[in-house]
Amino acid sequence: MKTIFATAAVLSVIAAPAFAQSSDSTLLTSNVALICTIDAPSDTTVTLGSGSQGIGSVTAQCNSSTGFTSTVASANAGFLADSATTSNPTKYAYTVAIPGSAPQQLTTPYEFDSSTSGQNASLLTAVTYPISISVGAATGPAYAGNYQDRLTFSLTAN
Amino acid sequence: MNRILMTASAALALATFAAPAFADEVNVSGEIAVVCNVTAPSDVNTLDLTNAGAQPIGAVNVKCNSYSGFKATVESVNGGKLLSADSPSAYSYAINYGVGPVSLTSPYVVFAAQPGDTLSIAAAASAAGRDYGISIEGISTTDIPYAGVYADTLVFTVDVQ
Repeated sequence: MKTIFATAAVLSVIAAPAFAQSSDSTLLTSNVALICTIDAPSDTTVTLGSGSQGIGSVTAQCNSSTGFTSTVASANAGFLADSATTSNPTKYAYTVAIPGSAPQQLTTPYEFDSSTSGQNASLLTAVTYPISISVGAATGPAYAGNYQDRLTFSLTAN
Repeated sequence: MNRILMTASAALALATFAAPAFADEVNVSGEIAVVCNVTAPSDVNTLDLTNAGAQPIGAVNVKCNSYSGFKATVESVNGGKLLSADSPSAYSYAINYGVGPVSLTSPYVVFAAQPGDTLSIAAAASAAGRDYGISIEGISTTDIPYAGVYADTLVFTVDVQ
């Protein structure tokens, strides 16, 4: 009988749980939102054949660590064309000047600024690019008309 | 003479049978196991990276029934920095549990109860345990504040002294 009691006592001690150490964790997170924006100048009227003319400024901002690409594209591939009819053969070629780039006739979209991964410090705060255009002579007869083009400025995080 | 001797022998035998022969003993004991448990604050996703002031994140709860006291440590997985998989930048920070900011460049003993610290020991041994309020403060960066999700993990551990 005594032997049975002693055995039972030893077993009960071994079975008792012991958690002398414990760990738990907290995850801390915060988000810096991606902000990539670009604002084009307001619509403007230019004087044909008067040389370089300022048309306002583009404002761009981007905080992507992977960099960004800024482009400008012309709806008429670098020409002012009659807005009322496509039958008017007259067009005015023009170039766009953006600081840091040579004047471009926008026959295709032009990349005027960019950065690569880890190098994007230039646009963390908003940057302003003054834009000017130079309109050349008319191709063909200078028929009357309202000649126009649309410039589209884009900024994309890489 | 023989009778006398036989009588004496019988008397001796009687004396021997009269001695106690059934003594025994039993030890009675019980044990309360050492149980120390720590509960960290819930995950936090509202830290303001532009605010260097104190930002409370909740309380660490310690339950420990060791009479010799306990020791609690906190360790930052990122060495006291909020890092991002989206960005090479880092935000430094400190924690404060009421005694001043502590940088977590290495594991740090945030609170301990030594033998004799009866108030803390008793509080931790209570059913509710002992709470230690934690704040994050001094968030700052010298890097470019690129977009991204910045994170770190605080690991709290409690052990007996």
